Amino acid sequence: MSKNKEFVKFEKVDKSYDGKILVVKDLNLDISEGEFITMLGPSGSGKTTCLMMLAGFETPTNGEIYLDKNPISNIPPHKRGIGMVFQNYALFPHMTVYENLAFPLRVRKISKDDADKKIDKALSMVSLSGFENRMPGQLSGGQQQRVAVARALVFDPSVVLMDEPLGALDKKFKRKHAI
Amino acid sequence: MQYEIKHIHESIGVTVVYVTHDQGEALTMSNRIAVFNDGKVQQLSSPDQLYEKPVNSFVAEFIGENNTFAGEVYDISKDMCKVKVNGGEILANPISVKTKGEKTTVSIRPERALINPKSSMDNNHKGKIEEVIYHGDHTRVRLSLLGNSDFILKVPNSSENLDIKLGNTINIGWNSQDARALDPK
Ligand SMILES: Nc1ncnc2c1ncn2[C@@H]1O[C@H](COP(=O)(O)OP(=O)(O)OP(=O)(O)O)[C@@H](O)[C@H]1O
Ligand SMILES: [Mg+2]
Repeated sequence: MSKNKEFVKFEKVDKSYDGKILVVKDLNLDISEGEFITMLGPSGSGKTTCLMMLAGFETPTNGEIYLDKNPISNIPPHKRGIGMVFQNYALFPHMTVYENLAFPLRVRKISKDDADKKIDKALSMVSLSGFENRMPGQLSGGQQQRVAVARALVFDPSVVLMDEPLGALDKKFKRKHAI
Repeated sequence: MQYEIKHIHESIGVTVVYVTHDQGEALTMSNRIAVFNDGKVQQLSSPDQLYEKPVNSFVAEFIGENNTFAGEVYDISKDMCKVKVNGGEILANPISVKTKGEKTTVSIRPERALINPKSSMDNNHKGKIEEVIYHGDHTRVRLSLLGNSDFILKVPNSSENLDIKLGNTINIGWNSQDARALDPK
């Protein structure tokens, strides 16, 4: 089976928050199934806005976004099969690692047995098996990021959106100014 | 973590839309990169295309390092143009310019300019060494050349001992293909 070349499609998408200034202008972008695509650009260039429209937290001012050929406006957010790691990768601070990962599964009404298997698998993917009972506050910054990645993957989404998942590490700033 | 995310992507085949303003992350992890500026996609390419063939000055500037010359096109054919700059003339690859008289910024990646090139290159200029910084795997050399006192070279430290000393004048060459005449900054 050949992969869908237009698994995600932005078609002539504009976005304005205030009805005056367009912060995203005429975005046309086809993303293939299984592709790793990066939006790169300076602060305020509209990257997060694009992710928010794809995830369904914002709607395009003009144009349409398609997911596997369906206009995204017709699919309720929890049925889009989209996992997200946010810019501040916020975990639920009062929940253990296990509970953080169980949350998106419970929303999707996955049985406890299946949920446990998926949580095991997701934690092992980010090399954090055995950390189930820790609270986020008991993890290093890098470990918290991994939990956020595991939480975004745990329900087997078809698309994962990652907004600066490594952003809180100072490495980035070193690298950016390195010569 | 960068590599872990990349490996996870490879092993489970999920579609990833990743956002960053770190070009290093983008270049190492992505199949394709969309460069945004001011709400518009400037270029959508694979990492190597993006780095080696930037289509405008913003992308050339934003991704990696580049040496630039502001100038004016005074002769142009299909795959070559002559650009008059402060201290002389450059043969360049006409990417965003079409006609004589157009203003342009010529962009050359530091690693595309060579010291004392053995094979003939269609751009040859003298540069004066202004600064030498040792970086372990390479030496970074700042030259003044054609009126640009901020011309950067990266010399791999495996190279034979070249005459890289402060104040020396050396021959620098590059191919017109690698000098991209882009939109003026
Ligand atoms: N909820 C909002 N209401 C009004 N304006 C907004 C809102 N969110 C973002 N903006 C504006 O839209 C523009 C694009 O913002 P966006 O968050 O998409 O940028 P970004 O590329 O993700 O930047 P950064 O790299 O700093 O995260 C900015 O000018 C920002 O101020
Ligand atoms: Mg952002």
